Amino acid sequence: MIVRQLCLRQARQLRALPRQSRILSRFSSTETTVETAVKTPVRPSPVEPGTSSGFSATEVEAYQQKVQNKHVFHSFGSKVSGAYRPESIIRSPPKPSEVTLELLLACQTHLGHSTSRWNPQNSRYIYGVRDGIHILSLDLTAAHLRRAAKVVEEVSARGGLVLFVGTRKGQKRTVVRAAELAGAYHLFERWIPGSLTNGQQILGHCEKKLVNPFDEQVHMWENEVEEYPALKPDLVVCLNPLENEVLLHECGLNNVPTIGVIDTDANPTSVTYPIPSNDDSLRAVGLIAGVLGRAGQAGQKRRLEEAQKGNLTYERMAPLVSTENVAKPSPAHLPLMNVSDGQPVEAASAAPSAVEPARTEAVSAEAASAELSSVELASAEAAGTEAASAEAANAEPTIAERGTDSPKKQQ
Amino acid sequence: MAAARLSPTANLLRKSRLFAIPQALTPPQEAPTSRAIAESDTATLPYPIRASLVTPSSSLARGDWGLKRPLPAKSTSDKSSRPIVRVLELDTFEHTTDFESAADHTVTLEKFQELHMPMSLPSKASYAASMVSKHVSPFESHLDNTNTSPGLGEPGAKQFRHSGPWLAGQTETEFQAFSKYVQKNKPELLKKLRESFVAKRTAEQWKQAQDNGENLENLEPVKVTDEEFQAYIKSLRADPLALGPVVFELLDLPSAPAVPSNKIGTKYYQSPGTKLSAAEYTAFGPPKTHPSAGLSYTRSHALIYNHPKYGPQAFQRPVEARVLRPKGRFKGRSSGKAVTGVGGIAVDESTMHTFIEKGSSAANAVFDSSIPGGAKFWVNPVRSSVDSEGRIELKANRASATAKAPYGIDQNDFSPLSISDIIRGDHRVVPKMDRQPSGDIAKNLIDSLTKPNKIRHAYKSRAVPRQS
Repeated sequence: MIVRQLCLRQARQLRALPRQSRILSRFSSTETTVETAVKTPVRPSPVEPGTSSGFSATEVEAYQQKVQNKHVFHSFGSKVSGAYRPESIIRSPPKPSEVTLELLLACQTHLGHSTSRWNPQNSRYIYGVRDGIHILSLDLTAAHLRRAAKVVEEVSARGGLVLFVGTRKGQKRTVVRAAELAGAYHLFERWIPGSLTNGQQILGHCEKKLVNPFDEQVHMWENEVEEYPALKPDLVVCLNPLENEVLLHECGLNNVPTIGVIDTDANPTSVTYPIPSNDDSLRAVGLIAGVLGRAGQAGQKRRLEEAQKGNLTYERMAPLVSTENVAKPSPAHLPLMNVSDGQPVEAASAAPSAVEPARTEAVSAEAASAELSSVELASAEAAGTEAASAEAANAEPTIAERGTDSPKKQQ
Repeated sequence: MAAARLSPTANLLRKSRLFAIPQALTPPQEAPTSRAIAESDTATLPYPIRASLVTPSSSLARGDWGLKRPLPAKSTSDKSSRPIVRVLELDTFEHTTDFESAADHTVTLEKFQELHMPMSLPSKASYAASMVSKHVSPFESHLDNTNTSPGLGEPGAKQFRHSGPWLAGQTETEFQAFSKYVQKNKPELLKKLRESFVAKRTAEQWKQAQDNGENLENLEPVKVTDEEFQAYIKSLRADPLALGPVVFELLDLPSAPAVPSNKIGTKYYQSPGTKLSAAEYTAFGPPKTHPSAGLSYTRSHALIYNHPKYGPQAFQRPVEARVLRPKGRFKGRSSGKAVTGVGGIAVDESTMHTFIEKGSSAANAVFDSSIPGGAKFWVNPVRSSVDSEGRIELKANRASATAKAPYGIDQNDFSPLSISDIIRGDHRVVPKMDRQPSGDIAKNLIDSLTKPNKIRHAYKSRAVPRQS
């Protein structure tokens, strides 16, 4: 046996073995470090050129001159126009007639969901597939958006109660602004299940108010209004139908028409008037809500104009009590009334500014309940269903019930 | 016209910015080896494969990137003052947009452009010569050609791209697919071959007439019969050395790498001389991109900084290089070479001509844990190119004192002669990594609480002395 060779072989194997590399002796500390205190240097405070009290008169003068020059020079130069300002989609959304395919494209309404997420019922709205997502047809989005805008406008013009629902994160401002424009109601938190099907229990105690055609509160039949059944919306605009399945189901049970933003993964039959669009982009949802809000605004304007002319756009409401008890309204005009739930109005009402004081002739009843529920609903079903004559001198004083124009802030 | 018949929607969609984002490139392939490859999945790729997206600040505040849904602020605007993202998927099954930061490549490009380097054609580092190989710009008109460029006809013109594949880099499957493609196109190829045969015969006829002193204008056009053509094909088949150049020409293939020495005696299909713009491309394949890779469009490095006090400077301002891996053993392997990072690009030490400055860098020699942020030293980048795989190859010299002096760069760089006590090993104290100058804590704290801006400014302007 040749020992030398064996050693050599062993040595080779040993060298190939994975070994831990040498631990440097400095890592095994045996001494204590002397300088342990972390000290930060004292820096002399930098010399300030002038304190607040130490400005000379010339310095002050020069500064004022500079500010003045700045104001003067700011008026020079070019004006930037046509720039994209993200805020404008909320502050001043476009009218339905101003919606273009370019605008829809810029607002990302064409981007659907991943192809594996699609609902085949949406195939009629889908233009194609790109980068793994479905692309919604801009033409169809525009057409459906205009149709939905017409619906909102006509419902508003007939004094219906519209409810804007957008419960996703970030949709709050959009929803509130749309409701503010349309003189409608909004919901940006959770829909309480049963608010429609079991409305009397959940919302029965809520405040209601009676308004005249000019959207002014009238104080009459206070007890009757308080006992009036809970109001229901005439139209629900839902910006995220996927999360609000319960709401849409209740609307279906109560024959409340719905408008919904339908992405490629949503069920288009869950709403009455689908708008095929991207529902994830805040810009897309903001555009759609804004357009519908503008449509509602146009409808409200039309209704008030008609009211100024003495026309009613909705059926008259039956008197809640026998007509003998009613205070006589002014003979010259139609005393018309609405019932709405009268929670504190925080958003501006679009209507009352157009009303002349002379015409605001009505009685109103207001429920005293001051409790603020998390859900406001306005009457829909009861609205305008009854019409009766509360006599007046020449014209029949008709009492109509309809929703208020005043949007309410949800607490 | 297909474009005219498009619906307005289709036209709009086509022109939209989102649809204009180019398709992702294929990521670099792993080396076909049976050895285990230890590479990180999250490592920065050698070249970007997806477009980087930015958004204006007003939209950024709303998370609006023009995508399917807003991107969360937590990983974009909260994380970076200038977020740049690349989108992996617009929407996934989980209702999310898959994206990641694209700052790695974007910032590397910005840093590279600050070096003011022109791109050169790749060239092998010569270990023997102390000179860096000559700078040849890929934008020279006789080099910047593809197989369809009109300039290719000029004498001496080179090209950086062929229409055919590089056979030496193909896998078996790819080669089978290519040969199937060739078989399918046999009639056209034969027609092309016949044309080249006619051209060849015409040239021969011309030459012969010239030698015999005949009138060149009276030459009749060459007519090739089918029999002659078949005989030509037969002769080519019999002689691989002759067939090789004809095939490479016919299929427009990049020329093959050099024939191994043990094959020299045998018969093989000889490839013609390379038409590629750099000799490197013959060995490693034609480049995947344009040889400049769009990193820089300047042709020359010959720009001179005119110092207000010292006049024109031979050197550009040196840049700091970080020691990524010191010399010697690394992870149990003794590869030996040091690796440094210059502007986000890894630079091999073998390309760094350290002997220009006398003595090698001490920073490269050993890992010094006592330096906060790692060891750094000043270098002058001298040559940059993109290799066949798309990696940036940067070569840099250690900045000399002459190069550093006019720019007021810290002269207290690593001295090649002295190393810190800690490295020697006999120092048995664990070094402190968070080094701070000494002073009064309380006073400082009050200072920083009352005047944050001024303090920050003071920190910046103040040179922190190096602890020895």
